[in-house]
Amino acid sequence: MTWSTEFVELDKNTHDRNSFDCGNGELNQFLRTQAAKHMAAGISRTLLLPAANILPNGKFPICSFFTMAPSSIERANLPVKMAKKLPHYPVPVFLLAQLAVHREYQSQGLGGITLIKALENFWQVNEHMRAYAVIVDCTNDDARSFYEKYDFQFLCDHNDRCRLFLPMRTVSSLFQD
Amino acid sequence: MATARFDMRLDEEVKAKAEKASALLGMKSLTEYVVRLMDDDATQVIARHESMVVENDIFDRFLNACEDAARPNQALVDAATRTRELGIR
Repeated sequence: MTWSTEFVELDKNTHDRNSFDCGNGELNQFLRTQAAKHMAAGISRTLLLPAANILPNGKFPICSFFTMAPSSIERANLPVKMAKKLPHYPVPVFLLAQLAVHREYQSQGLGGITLIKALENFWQVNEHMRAYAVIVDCTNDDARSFYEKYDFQFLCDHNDRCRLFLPMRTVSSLFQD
Repeated sequence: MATARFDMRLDEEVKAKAEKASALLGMKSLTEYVVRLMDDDATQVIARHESMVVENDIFDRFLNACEDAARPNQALVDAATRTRELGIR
């Protein structure tokens, strides 16, 4: 089975969510039961790379997907003497809420490709609505080393998860040059 | 304000308990109690989802890092090149 060549928005009538298995139950479950609802509610947007082949049920397998959402970061306390100098609070960021690759397509560099497409989408949104950084929450060490390889930096620990970020300026120079 | 209907089934015991609680809170009806609960909880869930609050020093380091952002590293550049070469849109 091979990948197709274009990331498209999740469509539950076209894409086979049930056959997707990235090895992480939480991510599988999100794609199967929540991604479409979140998109309908305007909470987040899920894009995916379908496989080139069609299944007997008339749907396409999903090779990888990512989910993007707007978010913001607030300082716990506003610094009075710096209030004039610093930007307004909270500051806008992009949340890379989910990213996963189907087991059958792992170890072929598709994780990196999916990340690039996610960053490219954020970069396009950033042309119209500026944000400071892309934020990602890592559920385990594998996820953390994946993002750190691409220079994501540590922000903080959050509910047993490790929260990393990549500045939008870095993302912009990746696609502008 | 326009209104919408929402029917729900619930356990008899839960209903009896909730009626008692809504009476204790001085609510006119169980409906009023449920609507207030939903409104409060949905506001909190959405706020948690949409905004992150971090300690002052973490926030300041974050802003500085965004201002003095580094160039993309080799792994990012390589992945972008590969994506382009494979023609993935």
